[in-house]
Amino acid sequence: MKGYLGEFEELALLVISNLGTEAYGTSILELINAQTNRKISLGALHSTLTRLEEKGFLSSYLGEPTAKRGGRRKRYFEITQSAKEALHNMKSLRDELWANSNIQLG
Amino acid sequence: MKSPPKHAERFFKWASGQAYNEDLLGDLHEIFEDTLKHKGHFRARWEYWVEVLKLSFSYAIQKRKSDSSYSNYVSGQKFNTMIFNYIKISFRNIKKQKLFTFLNVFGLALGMSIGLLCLAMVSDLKRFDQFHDEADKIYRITTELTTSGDKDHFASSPPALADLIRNNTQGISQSVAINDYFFPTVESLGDPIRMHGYYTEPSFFKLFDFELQRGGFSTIENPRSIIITEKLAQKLFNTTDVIGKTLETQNHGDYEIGGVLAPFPKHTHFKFDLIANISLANDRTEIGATGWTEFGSNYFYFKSDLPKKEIQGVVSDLGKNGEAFFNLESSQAEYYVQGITEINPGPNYSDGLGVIFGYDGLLYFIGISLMILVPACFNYVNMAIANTLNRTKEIGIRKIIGSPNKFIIRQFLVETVIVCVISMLLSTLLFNYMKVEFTSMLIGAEALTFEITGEVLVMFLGFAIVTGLITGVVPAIYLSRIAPIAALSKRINENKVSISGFRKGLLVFQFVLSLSFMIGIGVVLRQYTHTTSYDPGFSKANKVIVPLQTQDIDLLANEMKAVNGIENISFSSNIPGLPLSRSNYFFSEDKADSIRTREIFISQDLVDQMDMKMIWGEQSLTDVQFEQVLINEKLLSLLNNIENDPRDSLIRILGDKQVQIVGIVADYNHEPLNQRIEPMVMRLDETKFNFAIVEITPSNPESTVAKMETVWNKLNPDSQFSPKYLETIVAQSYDFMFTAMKIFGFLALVSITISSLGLLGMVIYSTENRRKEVAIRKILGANAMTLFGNLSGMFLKLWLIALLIAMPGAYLFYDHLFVSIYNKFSGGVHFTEVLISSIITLSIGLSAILWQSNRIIRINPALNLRKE
Repeated sequence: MKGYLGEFEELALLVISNLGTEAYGTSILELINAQTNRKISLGALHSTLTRLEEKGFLSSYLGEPTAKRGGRRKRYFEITQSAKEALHNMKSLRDELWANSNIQLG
Repeated sequence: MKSPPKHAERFFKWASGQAYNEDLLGDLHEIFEDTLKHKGHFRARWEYWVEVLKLSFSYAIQKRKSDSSYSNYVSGQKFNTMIFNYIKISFRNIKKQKLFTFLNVFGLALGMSIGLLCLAMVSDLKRFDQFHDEADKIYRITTELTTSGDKDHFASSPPALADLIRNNTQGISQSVAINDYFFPTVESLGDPIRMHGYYTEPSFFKLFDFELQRGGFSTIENPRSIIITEKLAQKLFNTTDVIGKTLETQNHGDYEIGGVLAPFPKHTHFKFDLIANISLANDRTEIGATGWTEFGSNYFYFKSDLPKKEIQGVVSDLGKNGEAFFNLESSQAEYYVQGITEINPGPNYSDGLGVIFGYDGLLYFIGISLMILVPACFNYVNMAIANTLNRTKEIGIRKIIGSPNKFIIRQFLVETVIVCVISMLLSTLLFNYMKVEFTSMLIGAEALTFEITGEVLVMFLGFAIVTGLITGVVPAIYLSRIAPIAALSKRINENKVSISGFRKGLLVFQFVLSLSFMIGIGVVLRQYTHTTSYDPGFSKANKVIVPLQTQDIDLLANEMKAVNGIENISFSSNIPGLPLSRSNYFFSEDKADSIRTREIFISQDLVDQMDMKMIWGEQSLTDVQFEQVLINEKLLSLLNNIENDPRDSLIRILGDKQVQIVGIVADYNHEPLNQRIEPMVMRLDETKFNFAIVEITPSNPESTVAKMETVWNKLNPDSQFSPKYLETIVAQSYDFMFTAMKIFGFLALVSITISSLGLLGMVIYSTENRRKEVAIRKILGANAMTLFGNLSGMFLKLWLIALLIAMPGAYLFYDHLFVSIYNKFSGGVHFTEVLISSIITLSIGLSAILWQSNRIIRINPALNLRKE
């Protein structure tokens, strides 16, 4: 199914939308690692980003070279309209399920 | 500012190939700088590497790579896809040419078989003594002795040095001294069983991992207690429940069995039947001159955590303490530290302990396996090139479509590797059969298991692939160079009915090998027949050997002499014609060094009875003031002052006893003919006799032996009478030559088969190419005979060249090189061997040609010409 979103994919999309125009490899990685207290490798992250791009949830463009990072360009990521829809679908599905459930902490 | 590791960056660029990776490198760089700030340089480099590796194998890079290779502007190398294509085409070709593939696979399988044996052996040897706990920290001391310029390296070392090391060195946790000069014999059902034991210390079992089945290790602290192996317990008592039993040895007194060792791994250089306390070894307690210079059979093993270099330094320093003692004997000793795992395969030291497979033996073996493998590979090359005609169209089309040379080379390499791997699988089946034979041929091979483990299989596969790559290179390059137009228009090879010089050379080489191996069989066979006809210097006829037990020798002699049909009886410690193991040291004032001599004990009339010749003196010995001995000519030649002074008392020292030389015996071959005649002393000592040598009249020997048995049973009702004819015993001692013949026979068989296969391939090829010629000749009126002569002409020429090379080659090899392995005692290469092996190779070659040419000649010539 094309529109299916995995847990990590969802997380990545949300992080990218949180970062706004500053979403590129390292910044996404740092935010995920900081927020979730996980240690994700660059390889795993880029694999996911590539898959999301294939599914049409992400678009990317190259930035300008900077003095940092050995003068290399950044690849910025943006979420697409279909990603926004998929995220919303997911959220509403979850909200609905949560509302009908009786999970209570402690 | 520190930058990320260069190699990692380079690796990443290589791994990503054509894919775009600038942004990824940037990300990596940023993470690197961040880690550098927080965790330091080393950590940052390390994490950079980890990230690079993870990224290189990630989906992101794979996807980018496959995207970029579909681009029109980049020609990506998609090796994975191509290799499947190569393999597919290879299998199709193999299927298409069943006959050639069969000849190749069969030949290569034979050729590889010995190589596989060699590999399995090396892998076995690598595992030797690895099972001990911390085997990499166990060492032993070896000694290099230089006496007047001659160097000799011994595996043994002075016990005095061992004591010094033990007492003065820190960092040595365990140590053990071993003396292996311990050969007790026990009487069991009339046959003496000779065992081999080690004198050692209880720490032997702490240093090395041998496990006990019964009893305790500490029992050997008691000097009269021993620990035996499970195998010996089974052999002697048929049970392992033997604790507390007594082992009555003939030459070392009685021992109480204190323990039985569980069966231990075969992969060890230690080889023993029993273990006894070292205090029983004679020269252990003497520290001083003999503790240093007489170190034969003494070994010292220890465990240490120190690096080898450091121990080496300490040992060399401590070794200086013994310098003075060695100087007295005008020699110098150097000591070396050798790891226990370096013993096998290792250098071939003198006075080695247990099972040693030296580098030289291994090298010899590798050489032989190559000698068998290389012709098989040549066959492949030969047939592959000969087969070009069938492949030219394929090559032409490939090239015209745009394949570069390297793709065609790869195609042929893959094909060769596949053929080699198939051959390897077939060869592994052969190997399973051969290893049984091989184990029975090689001394000490019972320590090798030749197990096919996963590791060995991987080695086999690697061996097959390497063989394939090396073999495939020549035909691959040759075929890739064919010009595409020529290939398609079939102009290539059109007029080439003959075989190129290179391939002729290969064929000649194979003939030479087959001829040489066959001549080898002949040489060994000749050696063998020679042993039966050669006069060793004593008479073998009409002698019966009776193993003695503890009995009254005079009584036995008198009773036996009374028997009708017995001419004489004498006694000896060893049977003439068999190897002599006993030796002693002979001292003479004119010599600084003692002379190591063989020693046997004989009764007075042995010399006379055996028809040995005396050079001088009395042949009968009588025990007067000193023990009187006979010496042989060889020993005489080493004692140069005897002739000079006729009033010489002829009193010398043998071991620790004064003896008087009363006679000189002409040299005779007491040992088998492959041993040189060594200096020998014949002593008179009734207690040391092991055999009675009974001379009987030639008429009716059976009844004489039966009478002897009656006398024997009357005298010794408890013991067994087991007579053997001396001639039979001596003949049996040459059984080792059968082993050599078996080896040569096998090698000859393999190499003849391989070269016959190669020849068959060549003949099939050249007759196929000459179909048209044969047809025209036939139409013009040639008969079968002239056609056959025509076809076999080339072969005969090559065969003659091979013969011309093989004859002097075999002469050089067997008459000069072979002597160092088996003493040459017959004439070496003779005309007969050359003739027989020539006839065999010639007839094999001619029958192959006859078979193939018959096929072509019989075909109606019109059919062969109609194609045009």
